[in-house]
Amino acid sequence: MAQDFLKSGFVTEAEELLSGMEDGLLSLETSPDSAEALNGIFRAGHTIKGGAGLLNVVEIVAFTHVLENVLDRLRKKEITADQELVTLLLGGCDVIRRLVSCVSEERPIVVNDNYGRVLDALRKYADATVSIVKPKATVEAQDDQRERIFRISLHPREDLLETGQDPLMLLLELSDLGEVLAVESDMDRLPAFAELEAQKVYLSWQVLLRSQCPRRAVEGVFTFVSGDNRVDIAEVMNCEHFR
Amino acid sequence: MLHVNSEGPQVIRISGDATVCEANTLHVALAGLSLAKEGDINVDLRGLEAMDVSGVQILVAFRRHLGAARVSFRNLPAHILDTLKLGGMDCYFR
Repeated sequence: MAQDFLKSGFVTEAEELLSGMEDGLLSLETSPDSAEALNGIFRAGHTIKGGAGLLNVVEIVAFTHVLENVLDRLRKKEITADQELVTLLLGGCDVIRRLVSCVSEERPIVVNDNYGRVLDALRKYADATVSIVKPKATVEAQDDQRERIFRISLHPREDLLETGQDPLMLLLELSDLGEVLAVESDMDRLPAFAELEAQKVYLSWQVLLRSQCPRRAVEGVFTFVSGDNRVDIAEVMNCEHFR
Repeated sequence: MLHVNSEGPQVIRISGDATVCEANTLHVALAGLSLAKEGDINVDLRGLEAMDVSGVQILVAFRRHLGAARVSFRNLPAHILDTLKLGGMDCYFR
């Protein structure tokens, strides 16, 4: 019930914010330096990302993460809102609207070719240094090298650090398998400062990884932390045409 | 080795390793500081050499405890920021 309420609120708010973003983007055609418009567009994108994160819609989070980086560079005047970029950002709004409609209609979220095309075009404008994207590691030849996107949920045991394992090292190993499209940490279980047990792990993570490695390679990262640690790995799409 | 010092009631300096081996020390040291009840608190992290999830959790909980709007984390070294980005935790230190 609470999830339905959240979802409904997210959809309504996202649709309003997307309309506002589009109005703001159109206004950039006549006033490309308008700080008010740029800040409004950025806040809208950021709010949509936050709502999608709450609902665990990683496809929207990954997309708006890159969009946000581009908008941030615009705000800082590192790049200019020329016609080509405005058109691309409007295309980005269309992509998000389509994904939001999937949430609204409770349809499975399937990212299509357009999602990948717009995302890659946005990346060219995004500042690589603010992204968590890392260069692809060289991987040994695999029988099947088609690209995949994996959604990995890591809910470690509270005593994971005491066993000598570090969740950040696991995330580092994951990033060596390909390109981390998005990573979100969840602090909801973090207790108040006075109640905190300093050596326990309260965080959990969601990662969206694009990789040419097979599923067994991703599972291999967690070989030594299986058992009571909850690790869910799902292949969310075949992305042969993603790039 | 972890060092936690306060310079007056509104500035805290943390240096060394904020990792699981020092987690209890960090928690106790922060809890024992005499800090201003109002106004901004600046936490200078310039001398931090390493930080793992335990350090992140303690600092975030500490910030929430004092009131997130009052507390600013300053001078986080670039190599630690990179690690935090990897774990999607850099947002807590902005």
